[in-house]
Amino acid sequence: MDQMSEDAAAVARARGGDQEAFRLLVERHSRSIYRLAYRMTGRVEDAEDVVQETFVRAYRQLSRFEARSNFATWLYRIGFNCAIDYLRARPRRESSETDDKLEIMSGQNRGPSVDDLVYAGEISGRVQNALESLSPQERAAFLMRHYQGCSIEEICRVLDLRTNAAKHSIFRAVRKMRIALRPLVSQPTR
Amino acid sequence: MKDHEMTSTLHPTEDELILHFYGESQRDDEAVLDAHIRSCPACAAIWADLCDTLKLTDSARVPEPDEAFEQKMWARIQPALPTEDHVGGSPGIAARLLPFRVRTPLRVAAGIAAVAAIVALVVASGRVGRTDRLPPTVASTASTPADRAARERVLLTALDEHFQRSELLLVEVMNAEQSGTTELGFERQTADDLLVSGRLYRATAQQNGNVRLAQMLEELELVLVEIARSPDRMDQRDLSSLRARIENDDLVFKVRALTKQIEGRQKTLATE
Repeated sequence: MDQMSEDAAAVARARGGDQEAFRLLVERHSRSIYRLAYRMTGRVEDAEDVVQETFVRAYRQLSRFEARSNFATWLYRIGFNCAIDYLRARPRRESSETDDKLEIMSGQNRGPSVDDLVYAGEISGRVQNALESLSPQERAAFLMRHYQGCSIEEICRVLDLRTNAAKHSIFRAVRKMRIALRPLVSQPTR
Repeated sequence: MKDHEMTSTLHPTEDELILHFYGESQRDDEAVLDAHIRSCPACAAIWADLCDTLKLTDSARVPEPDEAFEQKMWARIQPALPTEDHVGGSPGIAARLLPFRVRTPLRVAAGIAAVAAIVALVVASGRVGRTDRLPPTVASTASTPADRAARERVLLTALDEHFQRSELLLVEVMNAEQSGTTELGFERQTADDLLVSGRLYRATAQQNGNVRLAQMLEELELVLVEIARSPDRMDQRDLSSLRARIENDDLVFKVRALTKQIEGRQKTLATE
């Protein structure tokens, strides 16, 4: 049995109130939902909240899931919408850091792969800053296109957008990325 | 592109190039665009910049959760699930009442990680704190010279920004108008930011046995703490005392020296 069939079977059992079946779905998909949630929110704690809410919403909406559909895709759709709601409800960030966080971050950066951390960490910071300057909807559209490989058509369906709105969200996001990452890219620009 | 009107002389817009990157152009346009990019140096440069930017975006990390993540999430999700009567139907009371948890926000972790990692790299290689110029390359796992240059550019850009901010802060404090009490709200916030990265810097210097650098950073940290913890308005006596400390420790000079080393290396890199 492939994963899609296994998911469909687990959904069928979960619909009947079998929480153990739903636990299998959580174990199978929570990590990928976490990744999209982290890219949307930029924080581990927030991403975990979004994962939790995504699965709770999914459980409540199991009756709407069509057995022939891909559960992972269906769950992504819920995950993006949860993340958008979360970002709209979240207060703006404070600019100070706690000592505990400081120690954690300091400790994480010991070790031989520090050069990779420098590179990826700097880019992550700039990418995240650029993402945070976008509206939640624009952010979701860009992440779906760039990281999830969703087509414009799929993005429109998930986010309930018109084609032009979805495209313009992506255009704005890419322009922000170009500005944010310009110092790190050596090519001349128009 | 409208009505397939692209010719070899009509330049595509940035939006058209973005759609092209994601394979969302119309099929006929794809070939015309490719041909145009090959024949037009200006568009080829923009296309390369766009591709490089989006390739860099792929490098943005997501912190991987630990092995117990799935179990931890299930432990959070299960109590929040509605009762059997509500599966797939209208939400139960528990579900309706379940709000997103709103926490005291923390600072951007990625930015901190970047500074910490930069600090570790620079200190480990013993570059900062010496009077000689920065060595020509950053130790790297990158496979090609272009990759190594890109990595070093990232590193130097971040370091440059960090030390320039430190220098600017100190100069602003030294030049702040002194009449009765002095407003230092912006400086306090900046000092608070720099304090975080400075502590990481010093801790890593100590771990790597770079005593000289650690001592210098400790001096800087004491001043940053003083600025960060100061009241909104600082009286003349406290401001004079703060300025005397900055002057006596030669802090502006030391920070400026670090900035110069980094800028020198950036210039060298740009000509290579």
